[in-house]
Amino acid sequence: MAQQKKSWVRLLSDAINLATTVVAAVALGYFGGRWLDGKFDTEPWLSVAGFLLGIAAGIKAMWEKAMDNKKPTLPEKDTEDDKG
Amino acid sequence: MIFGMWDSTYFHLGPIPVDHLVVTEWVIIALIGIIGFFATRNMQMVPRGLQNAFEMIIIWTYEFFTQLMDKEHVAKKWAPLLTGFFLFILISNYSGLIPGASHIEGFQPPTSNWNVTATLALITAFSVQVAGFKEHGGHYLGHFISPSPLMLPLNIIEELAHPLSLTVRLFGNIFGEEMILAYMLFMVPFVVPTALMGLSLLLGAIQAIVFTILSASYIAAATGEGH
Repeated sequence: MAQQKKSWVRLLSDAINLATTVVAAVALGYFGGRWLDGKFDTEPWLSVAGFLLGIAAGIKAMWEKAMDNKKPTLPEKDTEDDKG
Repeated sequence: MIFGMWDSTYFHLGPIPVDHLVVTEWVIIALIGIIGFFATRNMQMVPRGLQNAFEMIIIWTYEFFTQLMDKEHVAKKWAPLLTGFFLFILISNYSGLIPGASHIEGFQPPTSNWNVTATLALITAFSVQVAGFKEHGGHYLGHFISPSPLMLPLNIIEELAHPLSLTVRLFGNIFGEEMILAYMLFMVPFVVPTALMGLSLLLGAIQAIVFTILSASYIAAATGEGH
């Protein structure tokens, strides 16, 4: 099925979403790792692993969004066309 | 007393302490409920007055969420929750703009407390999972191991990052704005803070819109074709 052109609202939400998801993923990975380090007395390994996983999750999110936007698009259909 | 310095519990509901923020939230919910009640009382075929205004807003909301979420049935199902978020956050953000509010207990915006923003974000996170399961059934779980099972930790971190970013963004913006406003009012009580209060009007609306749009886009992603 051919993908329709994304609306400006969708593009805006993608932009806001990516900016904060990447930061939140890195923070979550690091602080999650630090908490686990405290639990298992493994400092600093799990903090480092969490931090790297967070970065990887952020890059993955960006990559997926970029690939999603790269797909071939068609112009938005008119409402009349949709009815027909 | 400066904003953010209160730690008052009015009463207890069983083991749960009820402080001024909870009471403010109840007042905001009641306000939305009362307006809704008056808008839907005596519904007419040809709408007039408040009913007319509300019908216009609801039609616009449905169109907006359909545009954002691609699927009309998903947009219609989740629009009431998302619109509720928008109204609650908007009024919460604006409750701190009543002149002198930052110095009055009970007028502190609930959204300047991270417990409130975290609760809203958790409702979103829970709704996203419900929407995903309703749309795709058990297949929804497949997106956690997509494109390969090795991606499971990354997908879990990404899923958890969404509510975290919603919580921190709303809390940080409103708390920061209220702190600046409170200290400015403390130093120069008249005229000077007016410009900042004008900016706060804009910021309050933007944050309410951003939270709503992001919640809608998370639900759209969970119900989309990719899953």
